[in-house]
Amino acid sequence: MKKKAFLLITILLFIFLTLAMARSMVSNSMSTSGTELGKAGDELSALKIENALLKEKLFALSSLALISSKAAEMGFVEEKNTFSLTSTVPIALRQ
Amino acid sequence: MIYRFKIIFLVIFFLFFLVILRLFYWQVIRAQELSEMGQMQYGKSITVSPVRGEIKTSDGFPIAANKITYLVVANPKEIKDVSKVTDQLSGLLGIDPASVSASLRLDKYWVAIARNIDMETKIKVEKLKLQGVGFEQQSTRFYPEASMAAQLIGFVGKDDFGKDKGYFGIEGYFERLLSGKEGKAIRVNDAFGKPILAETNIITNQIDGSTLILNVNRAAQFLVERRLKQGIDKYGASSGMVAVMEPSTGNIIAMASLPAFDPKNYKDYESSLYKNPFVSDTYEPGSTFKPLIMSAALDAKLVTPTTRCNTCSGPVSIGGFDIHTWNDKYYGNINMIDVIMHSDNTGMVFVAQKLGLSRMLSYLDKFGIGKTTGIDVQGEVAPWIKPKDQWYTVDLATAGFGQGISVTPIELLGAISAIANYGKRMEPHVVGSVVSPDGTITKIKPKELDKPISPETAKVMTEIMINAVNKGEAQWTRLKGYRIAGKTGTASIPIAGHYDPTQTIASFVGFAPADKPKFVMLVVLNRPQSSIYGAETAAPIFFNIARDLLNYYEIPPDE
Repeated sequence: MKKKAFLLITILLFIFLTLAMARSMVSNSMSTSGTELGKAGDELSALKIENALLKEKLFALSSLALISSKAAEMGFVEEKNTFSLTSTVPIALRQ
Repeated sequence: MIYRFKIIFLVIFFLFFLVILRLFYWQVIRAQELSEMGQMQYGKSITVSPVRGEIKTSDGFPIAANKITYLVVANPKEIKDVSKVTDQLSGLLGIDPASVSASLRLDKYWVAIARNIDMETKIKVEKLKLQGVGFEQQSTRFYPEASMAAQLIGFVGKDDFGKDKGYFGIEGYFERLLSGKEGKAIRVNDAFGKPILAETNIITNQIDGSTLILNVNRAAQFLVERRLKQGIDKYGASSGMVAVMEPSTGNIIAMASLPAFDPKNYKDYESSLYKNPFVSDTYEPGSTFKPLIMSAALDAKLVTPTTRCNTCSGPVSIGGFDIHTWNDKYYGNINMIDVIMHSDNTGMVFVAQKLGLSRMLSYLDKFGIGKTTGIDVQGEVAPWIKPKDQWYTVDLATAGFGQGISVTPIELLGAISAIANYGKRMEPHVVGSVVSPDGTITKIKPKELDKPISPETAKVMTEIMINAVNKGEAQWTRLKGYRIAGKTGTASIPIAGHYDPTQTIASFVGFAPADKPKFVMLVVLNRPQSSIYGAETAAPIFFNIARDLLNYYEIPPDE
């Protein structure tokens, strides 16, 4: 009877100690997550800003108004005469 | 004794019931509120603004996008040397020093100094390391093509609460779709104020705005605006507008009005420039209206192309008014083909009288005259068509050649597109599809509004209009090699009870290629100075644009 009680108390004590250790380990590892999360958040925000700025630059550089003025500066001129190929009847038809 | 036990039991039971009721109240009814209050004790409630949807042209290019800008803010209580900070900020931000100084002297903890500053300026301000000066990130509308299609797109301003709101054009019409919905989030912090991982960080109810994909073709819009500008400069017009539509679907390919405004700096322009005149302005269409009356008479089988006018040898007197032709030249016994070719007013009086008032009003209704077209931009109006009993005999006669009746340019374009589309009138659409934040694409399908004339009548009217282009007043500027149907218009402008004797609205409406139209186009020039006639001003602009578009769409000549 005494042995049984001792065993039970030992098991309970062991469980208690294990859980306490696990808890402190988890708490310890989570205690730095705030800083890490903050860092990740800052990084994400910086990348988002960079992405937005690059997108803005890309759109500005690919606007037709800019391309047209750059083309004019480079000496491109508007083609007044157009040439079109129409499907004319061939000279000889294979029967 | 048992009686006493029962009473005590009932009292205790009742008390328990009250406790349970109270618990139900706190745990169920006010659970959400209490939960939020609890979260507020260890976190911070933040409003999450939705990202406004973009507006893209048919090639996927964002004609209205979003960019990151910053709001410069200051805490006046932290600023020691106000005059020094004022000089530094006003110099860098380019704003009035008096305004900065006044803000910094306010007895507040937070004041806004400047809005919408870009990243480069922000970095410059940061380098000054001014104590009490900070930044708040914002999202601002950005227009990569500057003022392209400004009246069609509209702009984003502020509402009464200082929040972004779309005004005019597409920004105004689709405000609810573009703006999205604000959300709330609780950010949980640790003892040092750093955010920690927690379920409560989840944003609730926030929905970003949807993106709109337009039917507008960016290249076509660019070409149209360039030609319109050249035309306005060349002919000395006070303003001008052009719209190009695909008749088979009603898709708006391009819509331009000049002078325009810069949507980014809309406050620097007169508010009269904000509205889209193509849907908001009314005018008397003049001769561009004649194809509608003629096709109505042809459809009702009251005339045929070879019917001859027996009242066209001179001015026509109706109700005490003499109706002349535009050049005072008269062709006795003229047929209907030549009536349109010479743009003969007396011939159109003959046609209108044959048609009669009831039938004319019925056909105009089917052509959509006097009704809004349903185009998806803000500000469309429909001029009033007076009831049948208020029409005089002379009104019927003048309506035959497009005077004494008002339309919006979009109404006329929609009506003429019915002739181009084998008699079917389609609803004009600027937006082709809507992309929701989760990526779902909803296409806006073409919608047939009416069928004012038969396909046979449309075919006959098309041939009459091709003849008008090839042999009429605008033949000098026509595009050789292509079959293009069109009609010039020179409309008098009503002012204070009479018509302006010196000023006109010159226009040209037509479609190409006539046999299988890719586009129908209306060009309207307001008060051109070099010539008052549509054939000498609006027509060359029409054919210049038509040449550009036919080349762009790689449509070879068909003659």
